[in-house]
Amino acid sequence: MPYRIPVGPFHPALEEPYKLSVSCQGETIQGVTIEVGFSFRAIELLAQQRNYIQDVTLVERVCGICSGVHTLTFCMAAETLAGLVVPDRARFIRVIVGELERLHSHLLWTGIAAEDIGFQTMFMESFALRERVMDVLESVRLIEAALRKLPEGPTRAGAVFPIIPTGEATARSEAPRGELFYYLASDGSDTPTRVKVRTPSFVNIPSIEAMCGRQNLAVLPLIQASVDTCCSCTDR
Amino acid sequence: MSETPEQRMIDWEKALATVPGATALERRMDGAWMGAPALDVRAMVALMRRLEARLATITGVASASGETDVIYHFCLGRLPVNVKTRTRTHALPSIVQVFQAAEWSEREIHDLYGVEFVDHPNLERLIRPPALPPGFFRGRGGGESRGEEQATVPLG
Repeated sequence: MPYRIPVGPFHPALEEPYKLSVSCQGETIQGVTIEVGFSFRAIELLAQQRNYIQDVTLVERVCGICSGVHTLTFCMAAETLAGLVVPDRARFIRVIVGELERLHSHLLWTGIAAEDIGFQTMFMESFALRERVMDVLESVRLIEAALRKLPEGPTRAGAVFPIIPTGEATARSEAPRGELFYYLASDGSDTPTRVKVRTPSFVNIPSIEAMCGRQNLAVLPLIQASVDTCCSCTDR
Repeated sequence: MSETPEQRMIDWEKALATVPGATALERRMDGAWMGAPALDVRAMVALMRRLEARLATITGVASASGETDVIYHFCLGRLPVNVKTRTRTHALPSIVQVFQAAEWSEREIHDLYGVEFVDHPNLERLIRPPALPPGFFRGRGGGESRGEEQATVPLG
């Protein structure tokens, strides 16, 4: 007899609120439907009512874990619009900060995944973590290389905040969970006319539906944890 | 013999130019851009699928005309290709049948700007609070209230 299990939006296995409606036949998952939107704060709309300087701190609030990369990518889009050349020293510091953020994000995910599956399954846990561990080692390598080669010179592109001219631009960063994308449109005033944020979790979370098909119900906690779902990012 | 990825990439600009409603491509720092308000969206996405493009996301932007500009952000290999069109009476064809990744993006644009994506398999609420109607991003800060066109690629 098929049955349905609701998981969330508020559940001990979930880092942040979202809802999985799981249909099962025996112990086998037949399908999963996902609902998001429980952390919606209209940050894009708020960003279109504030000036660029205020937005630099606002977009940091999109995500409580990968907050730095949001600020970085928003600034990159504005710099593209303004044709601004960022000094080398500042670019190196951005790499270091970005990789430090990746390290802490991955370590956080490791802890949550281990909690979800229990320590007695350490072998499986280690295998699941293997790729992330490689990513962590790569971050350490990049940080060390950037510190060794950190150039002298200014960190600011100019003495005053630039005027963001009329136009539109996109920017992408490799955030801890994947590609982070910003679209920015300006009418030449101090307030952007459109700020669009596409976060990695926005495309990672739907993949859970595909990954759960025909899997054992007991695997569900780790499947959903494997993409390190960030609902604050997804909902904005 | 099947085409190699390199052969498929050859002349992609010419192929895109043959899509009904296409306009000239503009090269910018952040990739290639096309503003084509009357673009045949179905033909465009069929071509992008053949080219093995990746759909990164779709952006909705309120237009002072009352319609919505919809920008498809693709990646062809490492090259970002941004194709902008405009809704016709607040509607556009859904591209979910061709790019599965569009499912949530189209639902989001429906939530924020009220765009109807025709033939979308499940155009239900995604991130919109239940108490708000579709299109609530059109208000203050949403573009239309400024009473002027968005600053963008000229749309034809």
